[in-house]
This record gives sequence, structure tokens and C-alpha cells, in this order.
Amino acid sequence: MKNKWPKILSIMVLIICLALAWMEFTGRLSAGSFKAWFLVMSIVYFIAAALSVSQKPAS
Amino acid sequence: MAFDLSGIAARMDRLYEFDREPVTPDKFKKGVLFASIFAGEHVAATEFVIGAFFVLHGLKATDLIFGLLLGNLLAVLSWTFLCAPIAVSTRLTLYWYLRKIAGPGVTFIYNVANAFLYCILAGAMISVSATAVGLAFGLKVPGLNDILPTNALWVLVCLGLGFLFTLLAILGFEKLGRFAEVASPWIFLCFIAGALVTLPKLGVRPDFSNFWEVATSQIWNGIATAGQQQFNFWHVVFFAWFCNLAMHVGLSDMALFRYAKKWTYGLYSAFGMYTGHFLAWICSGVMVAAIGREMHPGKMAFEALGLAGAAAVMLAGWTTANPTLYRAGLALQTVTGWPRWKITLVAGLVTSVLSCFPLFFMKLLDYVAIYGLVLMPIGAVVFTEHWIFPKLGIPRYQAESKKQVFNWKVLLVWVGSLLFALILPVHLYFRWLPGYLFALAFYLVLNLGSRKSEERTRP
Repeated sequence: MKNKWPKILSIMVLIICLALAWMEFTGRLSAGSFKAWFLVMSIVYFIAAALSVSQKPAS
Repeated sequence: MAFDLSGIAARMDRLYEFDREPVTPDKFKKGVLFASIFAGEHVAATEFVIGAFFVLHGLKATDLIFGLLLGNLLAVLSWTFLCAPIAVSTRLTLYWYLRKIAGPGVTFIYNVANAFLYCILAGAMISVSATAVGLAFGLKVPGLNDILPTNALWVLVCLGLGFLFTLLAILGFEKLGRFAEVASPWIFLCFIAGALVTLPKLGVRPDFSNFWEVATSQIWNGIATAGQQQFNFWHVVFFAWFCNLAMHVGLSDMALFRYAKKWTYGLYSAFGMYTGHFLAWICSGVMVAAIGREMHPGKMAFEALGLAGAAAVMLAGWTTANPTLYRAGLALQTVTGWPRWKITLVAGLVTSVLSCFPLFFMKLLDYVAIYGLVLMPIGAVVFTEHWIFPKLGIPRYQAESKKQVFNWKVLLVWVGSLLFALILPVHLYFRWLPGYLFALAFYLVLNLGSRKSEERTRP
């Protein structure tokens, strides 16, 4: 059965990335911390999204 | 003839054999797929450049917003009322439909023209990626008016990236195509996040209370950068409309819409237009304003998002250049008959060399206009043949019925309407529409004689 968790995780990570940007915009996160966390979350996103896409049958 | 045209035509047919038959109802796709394809395709490396150029061309904020709303609407309507109905009615790709109308000789010329234009576009995308990779080496990006490469490092980075992209395109398009699927939502997020974190640098308060004031005074303030032409509302409307001219008015997206259940699926193109060609263009405008209006996509994303931003520009360039290289290789394969890897390598090498010339990247807006303009007359010919010929009793598909290699009328209309557009005393952006109407009328006039001769020969 197809595992939906990678897809859910990838969507959640994108939302977290957006939340991080909002926190930087409102001054609750420094630019340096934002850039570091954004990079980490981006890597997590690519791993989750790649897993999600690899489960799809080739068209 | 110096080369064997029938051999080339046979090779072209073999190459496109898999989509020769009209799509059957069991292959129709859901609307959501069209929405996702459009949303993914229209968030690309070009968006980093186009939105930024709108700032450099001194647009006012209201002109930009209303211009983009209208121009993108016209683009969506072009997909819906021009491209999708013909695709749904024929269930064929433009390649096969044009072959019936214009003959294999014209489709061959169309393929070669398309491949050449694709190579230039891919070259511009490699240049965009080079601005991001070059950050690591302190690369000096060429200026807005530079035509030739300005330094050896720029050439080295462009060639290096070009070879890398070519190698990846040769190794496997399928898997890389899937990678693009993964990357596009993240690249779109990078546009939004990059613009959001850039706003405080421009003085926008966290409650957005002075956003409009900052937008109109520091971003789209109506003052063009030195050496850049002043744009207004109509430039934006026409640019947004013709940005994908070859796809909608030029009908190359028939390949996509032949899978649509009904022609109204053309409306799904709005998912690409109002994300990529509206939000992403606005976001890149915000980012370029924060780096002193310097045309440096790598720097503007890096300043906003750090390493992830530079990676976004690099990946956006790659995911755009990759399918473009693939398509160019596919089109050129028909001419040479060489294996895919060899022709992709040649196309990649040519593209890599082109990417060294900043002309294509720094004049991207003009290039996009020319790209659409060159292929637009073919869309006019197909539209006339499909919708107007039956109403006037003019026989359709004469090239097919008469087994013509070249339908000279189509070639004449193609060249004639381009010459007509060339001599029009208006801005480049406004030439395609009169050129399109001219092509429609010219093709119709050339074929009125066929109706009479058919009537005369009728018993």
C-alpha cells in the first residue's frame, strides 16, 4: 500500500518554511537563524518529496 | 535537394509515432492534473529575471498589478478559446495536425526553428544558474547592456554548468523530470518567502501598514534604470499575454490539451499564470529592489534566503533548461537521425556556448517576444484551417490529400506575416497581434482560390 507520510511531511515542511519566513518578517527570528533553518527544512523537504514521488508509478 | 527530405520525414514520423493516433476517451485526464502541470511549468528560472526587469523598466505599481491581471487573463482565454478547443476537437498534437495541413517539409522547418529557439532559451537559463553558482567564486555578472562575455570566469562557470546540465539531460530525462516535479513547489515557496523576508529591508512594517507606500516609492516607482526603456500598463498587458504565445496562440499546448475532457480545461492555465506570472514576478521585483536594482538573480535570492536561495536559482535554471534541452534534442534528432544522446550532446554544447553571451539573459524579455512572434503564424494557419475553412467551403488538409511535402501557401504566410510584423512601426511587444491577424487573413485569401476551383471541378 502506498505510504502517504512522505507527501504529508513534504507539505508540512513547506508550511514550516513559510512560517519561518513570517517569523523573520515580524522580527521574531534573526536573519541568520532564518537562513540556517530554511536551509535545513529545504533539505528535509527534498528528501520527503523525493520519497513521495518515487512511490508513484512511472507514467 | 542536397538532403533526403523523405528520409527526414520518415524519421520524424517514427519519432512521434507514439502520439500519432488521436487520444482515446480512456486516456483523458482529470482537471487537477492540468492545474498542477501549469502551476509547475510556470514557476521557473525566467520568473527571477522577468519580475526583476519590470522594476528596472520603471513600471508603476498600479500599472504592474492591473497589467498582469489583464495580460494573464488574456493568456488564459487564449488557451481556453484558441488552443484547447482545437486540441479537444482533433485529439492530436500540433506536430501531426500541422503535418496534415502543411506537409512534412513545413513541419521539419518548424521543428528546426523550434529547436534553435529552445537552445537559446536553455542558454539563458544556464546564465541565470551561473549567477547563483558564481556567488561562491566572487563572479562578476555582466552588465545590462553587455552582449559579449565580460570575463573569463563567467565563461568558465557557464560552460561548466552547461556541460553538467547536458550530461544530466543525456543520463535520464524521466528521472530528472520527476525531480522537477519535486522542486517546483519549493521554488515557488522560495519566491514568496524571499519577498516576505526582503520587505523589512525596504522599510515595510510588520503590520503591512506602509506596504503600498514602500511599493510605490521604492519598488515600482515609475523610474526606469539608466539605459532601460520606460514601460507602461500596455507593455505589461502584452508581455503577460505573449509570454507563452507559442504555447497558446501558437498551439503547441495541443499536446497537453488533447488529453482534456472538454475545452474549458483551458481555464486551468490560470493556475500557472496567477502563481508564476503574477505572484512570482511580483516577488522577484521585491527582491531586486532590495539589492539596488542589480540584475543578478543569484545575489537577490542569496541575500533573501541564504544558501537555499542560491540553490533555488540554480535548480530553477536547471529544471527549466533540462526539458528545454531534451525538446531541442528531440526536434533535431529528426534532422540528423543520430541517437538521442548524441544529438542532446550537440544541442547541449551549442546551448552552453550561447549561455556565455549575456545578450540572451539580459535581453530575455525581447527574446521571449521574438520567440512567440516567430512561431505565431503557424497557430494562425492552423486556426484558419480548422475553424474558418469549413465555414467557407474551402477543402481542409490539402497537403495530406495532395501528398505535398511543402504546402507553399503555409510557408508564404509564415514568412509574409513575419515580414509584416517586422516592418510595423510599433514596439516589439505589440507586433504579434497585427501579425497574427495578417496571417489569418493572408492564409484565407491564398486559399479562396481553392474553393472556386473545387466548385468548378464539381459535377
